[in-house]
Amino acid sequence: MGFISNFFKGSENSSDVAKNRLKVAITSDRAVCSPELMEQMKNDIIEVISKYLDIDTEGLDIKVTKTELEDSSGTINALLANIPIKEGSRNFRKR
Amino acid sequence: MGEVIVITSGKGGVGKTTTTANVGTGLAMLGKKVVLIDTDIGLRNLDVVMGLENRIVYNLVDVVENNCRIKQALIKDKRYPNLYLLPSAQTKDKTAVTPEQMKKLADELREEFDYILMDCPAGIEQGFKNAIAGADRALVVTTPEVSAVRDADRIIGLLEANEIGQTHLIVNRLRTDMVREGNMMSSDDVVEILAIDLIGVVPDDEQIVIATNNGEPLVGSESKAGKAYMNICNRILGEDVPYLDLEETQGFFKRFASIFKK
Amino acid sequence: MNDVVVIKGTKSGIILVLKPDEEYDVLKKEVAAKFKASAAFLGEAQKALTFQGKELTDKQKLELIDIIQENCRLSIVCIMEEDEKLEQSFRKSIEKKLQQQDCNTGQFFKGNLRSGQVLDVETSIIIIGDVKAGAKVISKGNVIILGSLKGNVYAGSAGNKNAFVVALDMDPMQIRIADTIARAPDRPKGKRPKETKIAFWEDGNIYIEPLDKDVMNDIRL
Repeated sequence: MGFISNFFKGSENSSDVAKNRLKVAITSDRAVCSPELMEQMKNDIIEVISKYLDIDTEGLDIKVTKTELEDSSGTINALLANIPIKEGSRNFRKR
Repeated sequence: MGEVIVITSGKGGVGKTTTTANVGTGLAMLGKKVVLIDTDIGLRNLDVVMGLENRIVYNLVDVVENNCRIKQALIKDKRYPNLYLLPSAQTKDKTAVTPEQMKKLADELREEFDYILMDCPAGIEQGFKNAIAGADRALVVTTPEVSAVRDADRIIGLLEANEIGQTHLIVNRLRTDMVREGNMMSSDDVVEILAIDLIGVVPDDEQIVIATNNGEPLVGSESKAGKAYMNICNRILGEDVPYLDLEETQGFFKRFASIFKK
Repeated sequence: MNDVVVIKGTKSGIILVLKPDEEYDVLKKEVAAKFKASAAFLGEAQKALTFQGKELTDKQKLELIDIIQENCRLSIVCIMEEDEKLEQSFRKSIEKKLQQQDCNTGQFFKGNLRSGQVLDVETSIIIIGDVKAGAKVISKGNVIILGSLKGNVYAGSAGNKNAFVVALDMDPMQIRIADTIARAPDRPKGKRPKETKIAFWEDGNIYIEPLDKDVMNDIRL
């Protein structure tokens, strides 16, 4: 029985699970470059930024997403990078 | 000048051929001159869904290779005089035809027909490229399943890259009872993910299986799916048709639920 | 004056159409003029020549060939005689002989033919197996299927109307004999018993009947 199993499973039902999984899968499908290329780019970015900042390489997240243009005339592929800076580090290193 | 519409999906088995048969028949019922082209060379299916399999003498490849004239290969439907089928070849493969040849064929048929419907094979290879070559607009068919939706997204991207003008979505085999329980994505969920305009929602209906067994499209019948297909046809013609089916079924379930409450 | 001499080109030859009631001397001058005018178009090639319209003597033919070769860069390698009746009777007798061979010699095929498969043979064929829906058998002679026939058969594909099709279970999508095509009815009535049947051509129609003694007596090879 559907509603009983739902009751025991908790709040999220399977259609929400499907939706969320799809959003992730499709985002990476839409990315302009392959996973290998993404990984390479990520490493290059880390290398460059590490020269100036002490960053948390584990928590770093880079993806390509579709973003609405400012004048809402359409969408554009954008590189989104979320790079956490390690706590306790001085904002800028001396070169 | 006629309009060329490609019906595509990416994933197989989501109902492209059934959609082509029903939308094509529906447009013919509404008085339009329609030709359905089965572009799935090597795996033809549209002829059996239309119930015209025993009339095939020439096929798409014969036309392209100039073994016969277009008129000789067109099979007139047994129910509607302004509906025709151009069947696919069963003995060749996708490479027997090029996108350029398909475009030329579509342009020739444009002169005579109001609507040219291309039933696209599954996949994104040559068969897909052939089917979309001459298309003005596309209907993307998907079911509310993760695999089908993901492939639909890929197809929509390819259609955009090939500059196919309008692209509309048909959500097929929706089960309103499962949506209500939260175990199936709703058409709104699918539209939200794919971000293209919806042109129709077709409920899962056992009448479809029966109609296919008999080789008779059910568009225009009193069944839920039959009504849904007719609504799609009217929307293709530019009419603003409200989405009736879903509400009706919800009404039914509400009534059902109220019996339980007593 | 226009239709006195007409030049028709084919792939390997030239047909020279001469006005039947025109004087030979007039024709001669016209041929020279025509070929001179279209020398550039005709180019340089080796061609066979056929005369049509006026009866010519051998001497006249040779003279005309000389005129042609003088006035353009074509070289005429031979003259083709245009005698349609003779050619047709040759072709007919050759075809008849070939058709007899097609029907009287045969080969075997063992296995099932499935959708998309085509078996195309020059002789009669005996298939030990089924011909499924969507499969096709093409034979210049007869087709005998020791199994069920659900697909398409084209017997007598070179035009032999005496060709026939036999199947242990006859339920074809289409049967074609010579230039006549018959297709299955749209709605089969109820359950159909499996029965050995023969399909044959008669007076522009294809008939399918149970294979009994009378029908067998009528078979002509």
